[in-house]
Amino acid sequence: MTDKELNEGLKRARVPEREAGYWERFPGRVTAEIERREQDALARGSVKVPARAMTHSGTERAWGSLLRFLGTKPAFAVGLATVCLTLGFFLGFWKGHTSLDTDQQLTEVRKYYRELEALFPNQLQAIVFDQKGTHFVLAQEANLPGSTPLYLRICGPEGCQRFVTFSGQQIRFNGEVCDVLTDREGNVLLVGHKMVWSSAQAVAKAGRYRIEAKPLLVSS
Amino acid sequence: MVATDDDQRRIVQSQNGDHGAFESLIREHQRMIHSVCYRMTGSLADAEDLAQETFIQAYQHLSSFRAEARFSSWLYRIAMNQCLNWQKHRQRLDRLHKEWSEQDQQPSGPDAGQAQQVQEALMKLPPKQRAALVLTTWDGRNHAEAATTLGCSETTVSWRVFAARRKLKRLLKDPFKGESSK
Repeated sequence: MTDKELNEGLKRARVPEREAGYWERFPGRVTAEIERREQDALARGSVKVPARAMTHSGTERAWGSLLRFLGTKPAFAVGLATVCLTLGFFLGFWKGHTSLDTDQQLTEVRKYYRELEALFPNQLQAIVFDQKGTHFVLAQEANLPGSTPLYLRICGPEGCQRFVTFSGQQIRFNGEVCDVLTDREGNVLLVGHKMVWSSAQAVAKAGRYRIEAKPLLVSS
Repeated sequence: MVATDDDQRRIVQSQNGDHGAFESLIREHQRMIHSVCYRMTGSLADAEDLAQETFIQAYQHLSSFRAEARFSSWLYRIAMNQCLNWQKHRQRLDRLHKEWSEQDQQPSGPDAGQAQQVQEALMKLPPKQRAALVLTTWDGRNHAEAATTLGCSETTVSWRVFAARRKLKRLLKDPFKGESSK
């Protein structure tokens, strides 16, 4: 067989045709699958507090990108996880040695915030205090704009969670992701798919949850 | 070659969550990606899965796309990597053989039989040789472009193409002779 014969034979071998309508449906199927995977990631809680001052879907993607980036850089991911675990351990140890009354809690929260903000300037997205301990969430890069930290305390049937976060961030509670926002008067708003809550409300309750939110004054 | 302004605009829109823009990119490149996936797997069903996965991977890594490259080349590289990884899943071969036997009973044109033989011969090549051949024979890439896509040297591509063609000549000798004598 000559090269020419081989070339002709190969070129004649066409890819089988797809049924009519396949090419119209395929792009929609891909984007539907992308959405499904994003929803799954959200449901698994892998998206907790995405980057500040971005749209809802943009923040999900930003956090997803970080996770995927970590997936492709195992050494970096292990390093970051080690740092987080170590800091979590020290924070937990530190927390265990502090008293629990509200003023002292706030003092403690402020201290955490100052320490972490000093360690990760313009990168800290949230500090979460719950039954499992203290965790914090960092942005991929240290490029978050400075803004007043907000303190939120949410108590429900499962116990209380406390957050230090910022307007534009998101927190997860009651099975949904809520945007944290502030209005011109400094009131804190929590906006989810199933609820809207404002600290300006006379009765600051959201279903089974009691919520407190205010700016965290951290002047030293 | 660089990404066109139109590609660049749709990529930015896609990154901002505009699925319509991403669907428009898919629409433009879907046939090329399905084609390479079919050549690499020999299975319409697997080609469909791999094409879908290629676009999902592309969407998830849009931020890593550099505008100095053509979007199609970048997409092509993702598809080829998906296909080469697919080769590792040997259990899929059972499905492939079953599908072939079904396709054998569904003639779809005068060249369908020969196309099937070519595809079967392709599947007998080592995956990397097949990839080099698919890139240079059906997708019109020169050896340098194929080398970029496959992440190897141009010499390696040339060698793989040479080896693949030599093996194909041997595998396809009788069928082609048979076709031409009809």
